[in-house]
Amino acid sequence: MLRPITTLPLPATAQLLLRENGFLYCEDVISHRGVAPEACKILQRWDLHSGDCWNGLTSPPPTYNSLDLWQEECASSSIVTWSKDLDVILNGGIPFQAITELCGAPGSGKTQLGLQLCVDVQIPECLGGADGHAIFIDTASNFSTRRIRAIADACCKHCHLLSRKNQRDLDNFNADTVMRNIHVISIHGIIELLAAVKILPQFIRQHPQIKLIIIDSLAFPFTCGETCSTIDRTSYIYRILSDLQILAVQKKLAVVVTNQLTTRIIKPTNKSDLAPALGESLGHRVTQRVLLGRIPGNLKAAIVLKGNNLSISSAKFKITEDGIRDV
Amino acid sequence: MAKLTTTMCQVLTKAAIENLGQRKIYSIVDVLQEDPKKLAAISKLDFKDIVTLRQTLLTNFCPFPRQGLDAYNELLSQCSYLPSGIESFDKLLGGGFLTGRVYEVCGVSGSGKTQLCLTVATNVALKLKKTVHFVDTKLDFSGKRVHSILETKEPCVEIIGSTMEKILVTRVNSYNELYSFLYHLKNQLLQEPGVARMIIIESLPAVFFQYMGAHNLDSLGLLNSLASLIKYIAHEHFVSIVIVNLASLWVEEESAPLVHDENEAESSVPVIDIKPALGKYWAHIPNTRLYIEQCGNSNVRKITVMKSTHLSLGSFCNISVSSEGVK
Repeated sequence: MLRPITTLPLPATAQLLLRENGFLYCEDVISHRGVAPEACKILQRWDLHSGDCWNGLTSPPPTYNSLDLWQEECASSSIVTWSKDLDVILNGGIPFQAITELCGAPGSGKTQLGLQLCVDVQIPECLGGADGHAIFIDTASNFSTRRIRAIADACCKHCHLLSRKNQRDLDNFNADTVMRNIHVISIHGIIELLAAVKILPQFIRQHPQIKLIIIDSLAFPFTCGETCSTIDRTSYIYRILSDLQILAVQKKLAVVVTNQLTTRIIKPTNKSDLAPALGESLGHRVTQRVLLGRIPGNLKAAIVLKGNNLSISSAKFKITEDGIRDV
Repeated sequence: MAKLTTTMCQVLTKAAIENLGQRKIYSIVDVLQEDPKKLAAISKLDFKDIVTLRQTLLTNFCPFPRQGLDAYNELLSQCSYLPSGIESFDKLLGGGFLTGRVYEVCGVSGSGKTQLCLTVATNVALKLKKTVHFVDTKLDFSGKRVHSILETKEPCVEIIGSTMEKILVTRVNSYNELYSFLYHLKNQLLQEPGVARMIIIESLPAVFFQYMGAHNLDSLGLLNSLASLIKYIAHEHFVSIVIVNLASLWVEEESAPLVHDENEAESSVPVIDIKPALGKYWAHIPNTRLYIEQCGNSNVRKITVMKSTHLSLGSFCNISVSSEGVK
């Protein structure tokens, strides 16, 4: 059993040239004597002609045993939501190294929670926070600087009170720096969204302190008129989430995407119900899924629909001028 | 090696290979398909040498036919059942996961596919003391979850630790990484047989959906390469492979050709309006396809045999998902 060239992450033109010259399998290109001279000539154009380079392409990803992973999980923290009840059902907040989907009807608090997280991720380390920056990819022009200011003011005030008790210096932590550390990327349409995600690795290399990426909302570009078949849509979404997952693991950051609700018609009975948009495939792809909703009394409710460590449970919270708070 | 080299046969000289290469005859298959007289003319070798070359290639690269009885006896000595440790599920499977077979677990998101896989991995590692490979494509593996399942079954901390060391997790982010991992494992199995008896791939659509769509025509080719590698590992090295697939309850018309509905034709199978992902081609790959679904809002899940070479179709069992894992 030999490994076909097509299973390597090579540019399409490189694959074509190799195939035309009779190289169908990896074992043809590289042997214990190194890269075959003819293949070397072809691969020079992509700077892939060295044996090390080729080994890098074919080497398997690292394997860990679950004991090490468990220890790592136990040591990692999460981003608090500022509502204790919500934190409890999420096992401490929005986790790092995972993709969290927030879905809900209009006015259920998806964006508000997103804005709150942008501020909360910046809580200084001495107060148990992540002390990181945030990227907010705004697809539906939902980002509100006024709200961010109010949430940041409230958060800073609270942290300063806490730090005074602990006799710690928090001079650099004020609403201005909080707002400076939120990088907003406004995009319009699917292509810009795909491009924005592609440049994230470079952007994060320049700003290594980024600990949170929010896409608000992931569904909007796919619903606003650009024609795109279902299968293409799934393919785009999986590409976006796959790129985000690589960042989440490598840079140990949290990824949050928001999603809308849509009417789903169940075929044989023709009954309908509300379900998160973008199809079943999105629910499959994300690590955890939280449904937000409005309940009487101007309150909001959150229900965990999917999560590995989380059982299906719900919590209430409210949105005040200062941000997300407990009821 | 598929490309012709001088080491394959004495009569094959460097000049002859170059001559053949000019007429686009590169591989063993090319040589065997070409008329010997024409080959002699192109390569400037004697006709006698060409006949020797053909004969050598055929004897070296042809698989030997075996008698059915020998194959059967070998199967009996090498094959075994790996009990999943879940009583009703083992009964459904006729004793457990058979080595050398490919199983597929499909279900909608949140139906308990991951929970089932984590429990099976834990039980195989704990009770059979076998190494389990868990390939994690969408950050689903949770060390905390495995630890909490183990805690309910085993009081001794050291045994928990050694069991968790037997569950090996590989996080893959792309198709190429998945292929590299399996290919590397195949080579490892050749050197030390029995190093792995069970591989769980959670989940395949997560790395695959991004290659689907109107502009990606090579997706079937990639799926094909992966399928043959999976079959090879399962069959040659007596490994049970469990693959998690997504099922969808709602299908928009555009995606219909890629989605498979096999139940309508078979009256013995209860009609379920679900569509496992990855299309008709993939439906031929797993030996057994199991469908998992949630019964109402309870913790009970129903597992139905949708396709199988050795189990009766339509048979089902009920399991329950709780904090102790799946029972």
